Amino acid sequence: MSEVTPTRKALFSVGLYREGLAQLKLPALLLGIVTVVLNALIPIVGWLSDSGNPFDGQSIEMIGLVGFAILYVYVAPIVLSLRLFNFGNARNRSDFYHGLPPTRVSLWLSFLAAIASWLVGTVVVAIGVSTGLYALMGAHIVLASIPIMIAFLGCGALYLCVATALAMTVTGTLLSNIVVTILIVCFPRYVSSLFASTVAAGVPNLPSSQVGLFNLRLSNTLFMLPSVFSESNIAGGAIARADNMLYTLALTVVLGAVGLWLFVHRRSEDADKSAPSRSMQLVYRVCVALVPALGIVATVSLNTGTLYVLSYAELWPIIILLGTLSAIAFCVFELLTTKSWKSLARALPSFGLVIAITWAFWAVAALDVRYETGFRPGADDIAWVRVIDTSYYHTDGSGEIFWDSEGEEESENNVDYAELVLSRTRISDSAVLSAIARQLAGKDTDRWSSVYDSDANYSLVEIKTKGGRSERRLLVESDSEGQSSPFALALIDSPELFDAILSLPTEKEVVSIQGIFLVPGQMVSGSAKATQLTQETWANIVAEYQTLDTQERYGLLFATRPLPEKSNETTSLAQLNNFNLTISSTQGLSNLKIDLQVNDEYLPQTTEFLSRKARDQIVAGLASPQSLVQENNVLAVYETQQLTNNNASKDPGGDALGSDAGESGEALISLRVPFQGEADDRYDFYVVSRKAYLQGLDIFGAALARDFDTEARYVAELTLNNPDRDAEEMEMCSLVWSISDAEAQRLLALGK
Amino acid sequence: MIQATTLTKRFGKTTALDSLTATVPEGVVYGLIGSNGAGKSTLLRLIAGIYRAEAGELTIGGEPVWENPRIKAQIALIPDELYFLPQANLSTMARLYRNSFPGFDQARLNELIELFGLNPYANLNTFSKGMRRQAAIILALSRRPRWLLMDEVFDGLDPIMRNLVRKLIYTDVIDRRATAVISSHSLRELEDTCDQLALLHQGGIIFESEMADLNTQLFKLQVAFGADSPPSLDAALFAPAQLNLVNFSSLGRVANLIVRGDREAAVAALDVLTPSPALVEVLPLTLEEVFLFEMEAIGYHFGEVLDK
Repeated sequence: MSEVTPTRKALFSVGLYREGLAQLKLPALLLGIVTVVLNALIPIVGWLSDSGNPFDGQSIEMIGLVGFAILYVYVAPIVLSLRLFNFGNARNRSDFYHGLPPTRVSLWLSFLAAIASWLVGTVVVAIGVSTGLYALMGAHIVLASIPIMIAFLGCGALYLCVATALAMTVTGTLLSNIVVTILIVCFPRYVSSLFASTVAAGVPNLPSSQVGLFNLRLSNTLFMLPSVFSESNIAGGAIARADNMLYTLALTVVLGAVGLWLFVHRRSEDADKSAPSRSMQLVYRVCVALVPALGIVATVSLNTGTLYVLSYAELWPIIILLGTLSAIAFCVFELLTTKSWKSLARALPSFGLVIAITWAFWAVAALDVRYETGFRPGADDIAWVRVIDTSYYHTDGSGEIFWDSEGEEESENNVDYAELVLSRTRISDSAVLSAIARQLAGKDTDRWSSVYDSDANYSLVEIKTKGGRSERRLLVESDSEGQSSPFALALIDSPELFDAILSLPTEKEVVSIQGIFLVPGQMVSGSAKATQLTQETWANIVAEYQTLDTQERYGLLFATRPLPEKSNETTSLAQLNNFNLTISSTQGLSNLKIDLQVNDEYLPQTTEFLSRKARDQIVAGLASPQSLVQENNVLAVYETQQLTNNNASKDPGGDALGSDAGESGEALISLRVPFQGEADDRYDFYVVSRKAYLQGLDIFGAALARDFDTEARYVAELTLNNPDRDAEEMEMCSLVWSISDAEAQRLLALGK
Repeated sequence: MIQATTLTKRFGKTTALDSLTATVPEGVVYGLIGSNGAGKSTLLRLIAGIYRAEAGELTIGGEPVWENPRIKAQIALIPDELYFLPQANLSTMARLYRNSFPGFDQARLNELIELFGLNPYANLNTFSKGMRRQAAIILALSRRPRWLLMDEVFDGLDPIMRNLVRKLIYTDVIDRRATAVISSHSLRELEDTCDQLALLHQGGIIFESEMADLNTQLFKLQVAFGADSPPSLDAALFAPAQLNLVNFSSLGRVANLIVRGDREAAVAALDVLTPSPALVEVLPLTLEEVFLFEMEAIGYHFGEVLDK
């Protein structure tokens, strides 16, 4: 069946789309098959190398799912675009396609859609194959990461595909196709990076990442692809940031619109020519030559002035080398694309433009350096400041000044709640403004103005003047000896800052709370039941939080305290009295987290609420014991008097405990579900049959149905463990409950 | 009707068509002849909507062709330099045509493939030049175009295939009132094929004429003198006859005059000559002679070089 007659306004041609798909079949299938096979090999090789079940319970997300699809995203868009749009590289082909009835808009969009379909389809299949295989091998798939990874890779692939198509629209030979594609994708980023480095080199307290238009902190996902190797999980990470994907899509749409306009106005007779006009050819060769030429400015700036590294005598050879490279790139590009010595000779004078632009680049950077270094407002001139990032040079949180998170690494994937609130709070406290003004006015040699001490800690601060100027600067938080700077001390004393950071997210902003779904299978994340529990828990927390004073709120949110020991009071054993919750929230495009310890100390009512819920979950779990039969779950029996005299209950799997009752005088029995894998010395001692474990659960369940007996001689403790063996936190929950003497004896009998 | 009005097309500094005005009526076979670089192929690509003119207007049926899918769907261009997909066979190309051209007639394609005796599954790269052109003709005719544009269409075809192609063109023109515009340097082919003809030179039309008129308006007078013939014959001798003389040559007592105008009037005008011609014969010109004489008349000739 032939294509329906298109109209002038048609934006899309189904026939051309089908034709595009068909023409790409061979290269797309080849690339796709290679990607999918390589992706499939990763779990298969892992499985073969471990005859057991290598992925049992292991969480798979990010690179595990993506695998070689990353390589595909860098290669396939270019290959497929070169294949389908190469009609612009030969006159007869170009004439043929421009003679087709569909409009040029239809032709371009339909062919792009065909490439996009192959790209996205292959990414979906590659990730699908990885997911399927890992799931078959017993891995835990983080389902939420699948659409995110598809979107993440898809955005990058589409961007590269459109950039290549645009490049092919304004060129007409394979070499110029490729060179201009690289220029479109990389040149703006390269120039802006060089400019930022050059300016930052001249302004010590201005990080290069903060030099640029509009303080735009968005990234093209194409350049973020390698981060799947470095980020440990997807939640809240840069990869999952929708704004980066939207930014990439926006860039893609802009490039696409420009490409479409150029394609509509492209002359068929421009095929075979490296550029549609001499002026465009001039732009290309100048850009190519600027790559090494601009490097001269950056090299000189980075090695002289405030960041003195090399002397001019040492720099000259580098400058000459880069200059020569620039000239060579200029000539080689012209010669290879035009294949004409005459063209090269005619083009040579335009190398002057390269020199002129290089000087102009240097001049603009120098002017910007002067402008930035002149930013030393007095306290009265500053309208407000906000602390965008504390511990700017350190991502492990060790340099934070408001709370000590020593020993606990900050996850790069989540924005800390306090950090986010801090970054959004405009501080106009006069003491803070004065301290900042003093730091800005100081000399580099001043203790609190120098930013060259790699052991000191710094904050990135935005300073807004009353004149409307906004700048970002690095300010010293604390020196290498840990002494806080006047700026940091002023911040600590700022009441408006405290009010802000001690606020809590609203109910709508709280997405989930980890740590309350204790029993596997009893609560499915995202279900109505789970959502209700989240809302109820958060309502409890907020209500109780309102009753706390400032010190207590600060302590709850930020102070790091040792885990509270279980109370000596027997009654408290009736409760799960310590919950480590992670509140996940979303504010705007930011995902953030709050780590919260819920216990008797600050939030007793919430603790009681969660304990009750946990008990309900366990009781419900006992109705279907399969959910409580995890590999390392433990049901232990203790004499209450002996238990409260030591901390052994925290480690029922420790060597001091044995199944031979009374040997250690503490634990009478530990019932453990049969270990599924090979014998493990640590567990052998406690292994009982599955049947015995289930019988033990029945006994424990019967006890749970009664009120806690404060006079009971024995208590049983059910410890549920995380099924993921590799998870850092093994223990999920532990519930201690009174049992009768008879029940204790029956449990003891099970262990013998 | 294809109407080109003051059409100008430039390639850089080169002007391929310079204010060209021409009209191609419907239902005819229209021939384009001209010197190399006259703009024939450019004109065909402009008609096909591939190129856009810098100035002037090109319409088909009153509608502009550029970016007009409805009109372009009715046009088939067989260019001088053919294009086929890499590693394609006729079947693959048929897929491309089906996906791109409304009204592509698969039955017609099958019929033509059988008629030409080509293997639809053979790689087109393995075809000879003539077979590739046959394939292009098959694909173009299978679209059942209303406007068939052919650039050097007979190039590479053997005489039998030429006749077959001619017959197919005639069939489309007669049965479906299609219009064929054919450019060729093979004037002999065009002479036998075309209803109308345009001579292009340096981006402009030298003349546009129906074939029938062409043979009557430009003709050869062969004039033989008797014993009273002047010792040498030259054009000045014929000045009293006031002929529209395009070319003159002589051999002995015989003069050959290429004259534009009315035949009888020209013969009658010779009566004023002294001495009177012994014999006057009117001979029709071949298209090639017309081309040569017309081009020579505008200074496009290399006779002096060739004579050396």
